[in-house]
Amino acid sequence: MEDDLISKKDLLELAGISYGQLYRWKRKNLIPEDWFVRRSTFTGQETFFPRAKILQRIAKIMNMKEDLSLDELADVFSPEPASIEMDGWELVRRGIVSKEALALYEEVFASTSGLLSFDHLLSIYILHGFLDRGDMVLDEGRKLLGILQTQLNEQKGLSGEVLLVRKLGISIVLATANRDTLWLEDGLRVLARSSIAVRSEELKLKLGAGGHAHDQ
Amino acid sequence: MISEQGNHISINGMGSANGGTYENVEINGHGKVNGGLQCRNLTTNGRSRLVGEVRADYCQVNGSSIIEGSANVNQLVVHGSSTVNGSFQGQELRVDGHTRFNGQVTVDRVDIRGSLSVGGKMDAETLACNGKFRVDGLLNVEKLELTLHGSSEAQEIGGETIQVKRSFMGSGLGKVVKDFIGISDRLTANVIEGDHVVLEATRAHVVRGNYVTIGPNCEIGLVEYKTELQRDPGSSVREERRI
Repeated sequence: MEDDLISKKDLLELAGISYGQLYRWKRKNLIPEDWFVRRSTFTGQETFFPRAKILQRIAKIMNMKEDLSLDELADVFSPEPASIEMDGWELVRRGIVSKEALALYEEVFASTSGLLSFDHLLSIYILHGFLDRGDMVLDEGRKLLGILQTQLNEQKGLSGEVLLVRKLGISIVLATANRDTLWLEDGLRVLARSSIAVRSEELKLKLGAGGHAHDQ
Repeated sequence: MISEQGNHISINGMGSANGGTYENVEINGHGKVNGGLQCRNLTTNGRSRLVGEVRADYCQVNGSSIIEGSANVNQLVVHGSSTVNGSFQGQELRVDGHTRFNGQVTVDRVDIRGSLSVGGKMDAETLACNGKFRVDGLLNVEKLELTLHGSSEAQEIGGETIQVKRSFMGSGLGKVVKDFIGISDRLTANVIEGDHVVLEATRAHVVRGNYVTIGPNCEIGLVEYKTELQRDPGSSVREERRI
């Protein structure tokens, strides 16, 4: 457990950032409130962070803060869907998803025209990831789209994971809420998994950070 | 007398009006607004009670005012006293007198002459206070300038620049008089963290920072500093560590 957390002091040292930056990023909601874990230590109260998540997040902030304002960055990391609507084919034209992924989406939802909301764009993008890496066959992709739609509709905020597991040749697609741990019975293999928050950040960046960064 | 002309309401004397969307709302005397209020300008002179959420570009309170809901006001100016039962969000907050927020506060610039009390956490870019504040949570502020009059308190303070100093009346003869009548100028916090921290008359468990100055009349449990620490001999620091 202790290995998974990093103290604030060690974090500043390791990432080469200052208290001022950390508090500023917190004010701008670039670092979620629930990553600040308070613990009693022999010097009194100290703050810890989930090590992997915070280091990854800070690396991203440092990387992107030259190009995007802090408010635009906050949109990228926000669990809220971006306020963007787009034709699915635009995603294909920009090379963000493959024709096959979009075609499968259109087949499952029997829709061809019109603008799609961010949730739907995200479903296609996640599907594209699985298909592109060869993790899924088309039939599993259909199941994935179905469950993603339920998950994105019913859950507030873009979080959780989708997984493809297989046992004895039968494959199952699962979606989880924001739970980090999952226990599976013996012989069940996780073939592929994808974090919804991470894919959402990627897609927001590919679409131009909240939809307004590159308009000017 | 209550008059509604076009998109304006004004209450003169005693009266109440219903909420809604207006251009200007003015209360002179003793007025009450029932229901959420959205307007460009809200001015209350005397006593007012706003029952519901308030959204305004500009709001000035002269006298006393209670908002029984949250307030989303671009610029809030208080001369006198005001209470907001919910949270507050805005660009600028100026208080001459006293203001209390029961919920959390998110604001760009704050200028206090008098006292401010916040029932949750507070986020601000700059906070200049000539007087006292109480924040029942984390005070996260880019730049804090506090000139102490009376006792200020926050659970934790974090930011870039944190400067706390005693007022002219807090030292020398003024201090003798204040001690005599039992007022002490002091900031109390559990943890104070910042890049540049300059403290006077502060009591804290832990102070962490890059450049840290512990001025007179401080009582600090632990100081952790990175680049430089200056200590006034008239202060007590139980433990100091360079990290």
